Amino acid sequence: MTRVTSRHHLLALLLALTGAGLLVAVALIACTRIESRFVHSIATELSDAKLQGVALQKLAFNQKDLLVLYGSSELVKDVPNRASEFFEPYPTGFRVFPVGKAGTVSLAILQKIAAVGGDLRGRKVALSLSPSFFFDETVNADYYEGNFSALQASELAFSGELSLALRRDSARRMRLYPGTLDEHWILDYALQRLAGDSPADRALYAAVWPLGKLANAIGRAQDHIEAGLQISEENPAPDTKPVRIAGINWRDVLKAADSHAKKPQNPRLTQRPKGSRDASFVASLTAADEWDDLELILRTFRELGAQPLLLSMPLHGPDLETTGVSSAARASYGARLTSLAAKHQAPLVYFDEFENDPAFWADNLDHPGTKGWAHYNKVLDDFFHERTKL
Amino acid sequence: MNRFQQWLAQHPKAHVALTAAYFFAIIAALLVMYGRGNFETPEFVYQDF
Repeated sequence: MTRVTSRHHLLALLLALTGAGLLVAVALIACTRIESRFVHSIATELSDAKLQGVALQKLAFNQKDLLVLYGSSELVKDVPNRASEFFEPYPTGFRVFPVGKAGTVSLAILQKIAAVGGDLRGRKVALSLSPSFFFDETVNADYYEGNFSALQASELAFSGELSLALRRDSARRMRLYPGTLDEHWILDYALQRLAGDSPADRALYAAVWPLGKLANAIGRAQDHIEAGLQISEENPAPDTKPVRIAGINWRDVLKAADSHAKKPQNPRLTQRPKGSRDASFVASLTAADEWDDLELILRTFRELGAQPLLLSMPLHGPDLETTGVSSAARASYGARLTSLAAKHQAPLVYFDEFENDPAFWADNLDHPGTKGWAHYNKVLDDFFHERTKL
Repeated sequence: MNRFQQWLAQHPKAHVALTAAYFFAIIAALLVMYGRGNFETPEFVYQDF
């Protein structure tokens, strides 16, 4: 009879850990293969794994026939000609991969982009801007929290590809929403140290760096598993990219969108004297935090070597006019946006010529309609195929 | 000591294998229970689509 010693228990534990490690590795490989196989099939979807994770977004940037489009509620609003559906059959050889949902403000988009990291280098990326986010001085906390991803935030906080100054400035903005950091003490601590930026803060940030990287590694593994499981549950059809690319006659598309677009009626807004709200509108617009967040995105694009395109919807001219905001005051938005884009050498398409065209919209919010999306799509197509110098 | 315990004592390799399987089951259960990340965001009321 042999006595079982603690050495036997240790050996058993090592065997069990090795087995568990192998199990995780096999699951990761299987999920990664599922992601690669179906990334085109799920391109138009807006699942949590896609929006709050990192793996699928990274993978999308590595596909030659996917164009990632960041935005917010306009990507969700069910409208004919919406880019994700319009480009689904690969009419010119690519599909749009939308990332965003209602209330995805720039601070949330910043973290999604930063989390993609080096996979953005040399890649095209489009960003759709909602002007109404710039009308309030502070970012709506519900919007930000409703789009917050701890993994994406942590990838930014412990990014080895972004400068310390960019991480510091981002951390100072992110810390203004402490509710998002409650259950993430490593992230919270790192953001505090980044925001503090004293020599002691930097030393403590360096000390917590390995923990942050470990947390990110675990988060990435969870992300792959989540994405793989979600795709498996949906069981999407394999991608059916046509062999022959049909092409698009844009003149016909724009003409059709013009003729089919219904002109919505203006809502019953409180009539105010012309220009009576100009001062308050410009003051809020000037002080809006959203500008700072957009600038952080543009800095991130530059540091990561991306090829961005900014698209901005027009303002709702008639609505704002009715409520006392004159065209002169409204022009402040375009001027600031143009100046910011030029400062960071980011191509910008601002559809301000449609400011007084209700047919551009689907409703009275920042949601393009059939006509608006037709124009968006034309720009996206030109951008993807580098037809015009933007 | 019952017969099973006697058998295990006589077969240390089997004892190690069974212990490893027991530990593995615990680790696998923990991974399934707590290993998945949370990628959901809080619900919030936005614009009236």
